[in-house]
Amino acid sequence: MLSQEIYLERIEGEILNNIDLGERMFQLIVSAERIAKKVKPGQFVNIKVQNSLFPFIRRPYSVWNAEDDVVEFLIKILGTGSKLLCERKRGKIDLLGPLGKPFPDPPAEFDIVLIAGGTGVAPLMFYLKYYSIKRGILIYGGKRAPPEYLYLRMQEISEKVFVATEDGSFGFKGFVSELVKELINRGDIILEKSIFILCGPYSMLKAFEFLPSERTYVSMEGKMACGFGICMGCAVKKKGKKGYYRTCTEGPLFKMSDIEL
Amino acid sequence: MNLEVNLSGLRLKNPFMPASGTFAYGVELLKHSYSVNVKDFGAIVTKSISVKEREGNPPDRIAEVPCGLLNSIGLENIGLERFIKEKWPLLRELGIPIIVSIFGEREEEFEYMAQELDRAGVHALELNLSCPNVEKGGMEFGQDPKMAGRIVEIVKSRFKSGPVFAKLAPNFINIIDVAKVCEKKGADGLALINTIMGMAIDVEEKRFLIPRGVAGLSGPAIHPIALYIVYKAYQEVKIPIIGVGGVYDYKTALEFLMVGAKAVQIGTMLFIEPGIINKIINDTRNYLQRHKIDDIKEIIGCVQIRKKGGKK
Repeated sequence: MLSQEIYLERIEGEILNNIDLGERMFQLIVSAERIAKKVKPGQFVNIKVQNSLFPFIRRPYSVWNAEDDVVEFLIKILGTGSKLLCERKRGKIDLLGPLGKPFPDPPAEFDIVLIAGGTGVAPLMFYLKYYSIKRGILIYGGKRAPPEYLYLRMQEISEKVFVATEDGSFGFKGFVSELVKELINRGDIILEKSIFILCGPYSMLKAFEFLPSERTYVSMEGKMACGFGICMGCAVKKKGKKGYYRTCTEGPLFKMSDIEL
Repeated sequence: MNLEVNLSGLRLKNPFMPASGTFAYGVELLKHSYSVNVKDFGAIVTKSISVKEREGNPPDRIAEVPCGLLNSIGLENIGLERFIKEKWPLLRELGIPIIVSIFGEREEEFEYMAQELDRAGVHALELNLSCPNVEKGGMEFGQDPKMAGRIVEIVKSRFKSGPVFAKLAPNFINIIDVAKVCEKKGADGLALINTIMGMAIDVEEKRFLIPRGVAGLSGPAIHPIALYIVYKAYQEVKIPIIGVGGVYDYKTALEFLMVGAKAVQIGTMLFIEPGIINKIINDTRNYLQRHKIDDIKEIIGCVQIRKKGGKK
C-alpha cells in the first residue's frame, strides 16, 4: 500500500454553478485547478457538503468531466447530504482528492462497452472523453428517461448511445441488463471482442453476471467515512478468498471475477 | 513553550495522537500526503490487533447520524504476526512513541500478544476491552470490573517494555468502577472513552442502517459524555487519563486537558480532515501563546466544579 500515491490535499474549490437538470439530478461545476489537472477517469473527490457538524462526513463523487481548471460532478438527490449539496449555488467548497485508482487505459484490441445506471454514467462519460475512445458503446439505464441535457452530452461524446427505461418513456422498455442482452443478440455488441465497464447501483450490477467476468469491470460504491484507506468502512468482499477490498484505495474499479456481488 | 507530557514514563512531545481504529496501522499516509505530518504527532495508536487476522464485518460498516458516526468494522486486522513483520519495522522508524492497541477473545490471547509485543519492543500497549469474552458468553471484558482487571493483571505480568493503558467504554456499566479496578490491578493509564453502542434505522426500508444492528457511535455527538467521564475519572483515579471522544478542533481537545486528561486522542474527525492533528497542535500553540502559558501541564485539570461553600 505504501507505494500507492494518496493525494490528501484539501482543496478549496469555488462553486461556479449548480444546475438543476431535472430528474433530481444536478450539474455541479466547481473551479478547482489542482484537481482538474490531476484527475483521471474513474477517480473520485470526497466533498464536504457544507461547513457543519451535520452532515460532516464527506460524500464521494466520481468526476464527470475535468477541463482547464474546472471539475464537473453529476449529483442526484438521494439523502440529506446530496440535497444540501444540490442547494448550494455559490461559494467555497472543501474538496479532498482526486482519490481512488483511475480506470485502466483503454485496450486497443477491444470494443469498450460502458454500462451505467443513472448518475453512474458520470465516470464512464469522462473515460470516453478523456481517451477520445472511438469504438465505445455507451448504455444508460434508469427508472425514467435521462434529463435532456445529460442525453445530449452522452450523444456528444459517443456515436453509439443506447437507453433503457423501466417505465418505457424513452428508448428500450425494461432493465438495462435486458437491453444489453438484446444488443448482444442483435450483434451490436460482440461479446468476444468487448470489454465491459459498469457503474451503477448494486442491484443493477448483480444483473450482469452473464457477462464474461474476466473482461468485465465494475465501479463500486460503498459507504465510506474517509476515502483514503484508513477507516476500513468501504468493504467489498473478495471472491473465493477471505477478506475484503477497500473500495477507496484498491478500487473503485474491480474485475467482476475478483469480487462477490 | 513546552507541550511535552509524560504518560507513566512514555514521553510525548505533545499530547495529541490518533485514536485506535481511525488511523489504520499508522503507516498508510506516510508518503504522498500533503496535509498530514505523522512525525509531528505526540504518538501513534494503531488499529486493534488480534492474535489471528480477522476479516471484519460485511458492509454497510458505516452510517452517519446527526453529529456522529456509527461504525461496525468488526475489528478487521492483519493479525499479530503480520503486524510485527510488516508494520512494526516502519512504525519504529518514525521516532515517536508507538502505542499498539490489542484485543482478544480469551485471556490467553491477551497474554500471548503482550509477551510477543514486549519481545518486539513496542513502546506501549492500549487494551481494547470492548471485545467479547467468548468464555463468558460473549460479554465484553470492559463490562465487568473483574474481567477487565484480570486482563490488566495478565498483560502487566508479560509486558515490560512500556506502560499499559486500558481503554474503556461506558456501556451498561459504571465505567468509573471499571477504571478503579484497572488502576488497582496495575494499569499505567486509562483511555476514556471507546465508542458508545448505538443503532439507526432506515424507516422507508424498515431495516437497520448497519446490518448487524448495533454499532459503535463516535464523533462530536459523544464529546460531552466523554468529557464528563474523564472529569469523573480524574477525581477518582491517580493514573494518567487519555481523553478520547468527539474531538473536532483544538477547543474540544483542550477541554479534555482542562478536566484532567494528560493526553488526547482524535478519531472520527481524521476521516474528514486528515490533517486535523497537525492543525490541533498548531492551534494549541497559538492558544498557549495567546494566554501566556509556558507549559501545557498548567492547564491539565485547571477547570473543576466548584463545591458549594468552597473557596473561589
